[in-house]
Amino acid sequence: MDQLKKRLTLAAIVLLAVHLSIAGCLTIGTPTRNTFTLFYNRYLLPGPFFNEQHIQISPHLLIAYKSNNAWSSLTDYGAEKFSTYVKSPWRYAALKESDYLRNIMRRSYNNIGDRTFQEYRHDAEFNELNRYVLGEVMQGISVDSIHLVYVFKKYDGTMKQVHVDTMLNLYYNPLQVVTPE
Amino acid sequence: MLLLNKFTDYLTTDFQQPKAVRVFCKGVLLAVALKLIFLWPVSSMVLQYHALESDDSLVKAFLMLPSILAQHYPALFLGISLAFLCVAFFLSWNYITAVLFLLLIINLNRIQFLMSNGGDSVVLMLAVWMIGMVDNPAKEERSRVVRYFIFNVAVLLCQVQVVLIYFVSGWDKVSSVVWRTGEAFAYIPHLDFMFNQGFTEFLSDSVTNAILSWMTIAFELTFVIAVWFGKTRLWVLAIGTVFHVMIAITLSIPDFAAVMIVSYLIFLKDSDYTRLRSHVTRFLP
Repeated sequence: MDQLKKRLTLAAIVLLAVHLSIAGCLTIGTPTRNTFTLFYNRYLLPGPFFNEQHIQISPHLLIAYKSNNAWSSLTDYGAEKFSTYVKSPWRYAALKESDYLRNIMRRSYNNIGDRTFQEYRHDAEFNELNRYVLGEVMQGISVDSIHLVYVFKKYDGTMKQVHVDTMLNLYYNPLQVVTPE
Repeated sequence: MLLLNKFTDYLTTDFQQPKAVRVFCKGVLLAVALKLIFLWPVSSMVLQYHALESDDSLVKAFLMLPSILAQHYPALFLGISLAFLCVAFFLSWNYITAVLFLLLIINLNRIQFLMSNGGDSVVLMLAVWMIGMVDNPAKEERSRVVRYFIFNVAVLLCQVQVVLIYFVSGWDKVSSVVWRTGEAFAYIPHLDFMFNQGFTEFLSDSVTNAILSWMTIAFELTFVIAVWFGKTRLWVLAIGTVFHVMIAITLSIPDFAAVMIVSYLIFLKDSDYTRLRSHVTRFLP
């Protein structure tokens, strides 16, 4: 029984030593990106949270729609949901809905690349965004066109200014968005 | 050699801090259940629009069966999940519950990934190690030793994982000019999709920002060491609790804060709960 205990303990020490060594190398060093390091970073080494990249850009999606020949004003629906949460912190669902809108817009935008609307209107991500906008933002109002403006607000620490870059400015007919198979 | 013998005894002669570990497991279950309740309306809504990708392998498809149920019957899936969490909370923690809990977390993360943040990754990590945290002794001596070992190693690795979160975060910050100069706290108020604008004035001064930045770095890197020593353990956990509550309020990430605070329970000992009970009963009539 003592032999078993000693072997188990040595196995634990080896496991710990290997894990801490890999964690140390991945954190302090600059390892190459491969399947192993990506898996390790994702599942065994969560973080870092709030690193430099994640705190520099604030993305916003403004939405307007045309109904009965009149355009609504461009509104940041994500910011409205966030504001609802700040005023009423128990309305956690509103916070998460703003996260959802921000994330589906980011995924849609990341897939768009240099393609035209006729090409990316088939994308599953853009389709999801379109259906969310029609279902939750328009809430059943009959619309002829939708206007999406996707901006990145970037704070410049040196100039102490906020720069606004328009990443996407799109007018489209929601009926032209094709549901992917 | 003495150290090795001590470590061997620690890992293989009994379950270490079983009551505290049970409280930790229940804490994680409670945190997940509360999040599920608060997220119920928006989870159902998101599933109307978000189509889950189909799975190529049979094993993956089997593991993701709950999320397929969620896609078609979201209310049923959420109801069953909540019922499971409630039952698991009141049962003794066992291997079957632990595996089912991990499966649930994997599926919840899949369904809710467009609303997820670091807290969900941490819960997944905790759920993996919770599989080993079963304190039912076996009858046969060899099996008993193995069970003690699995339990104690699972707890130790879970503690190491939580410590690594702070190490990775702290190291990243200390390696970044933006964090070392305090400029990070000038950027953060401009994250207007998450920063509570009520605190903007507080972060308008560069000296304050530098102090806050170094306090954050110092806490994260100190935690890595201080949590292992008796004299500093409870202090660093208390400071961490305040730290995460402040982050929850200013950066609107209450779920991440809740998960990190719950993860601290893995560092408590059975004697901490005994002392807490005696303090509380002292004030009762």
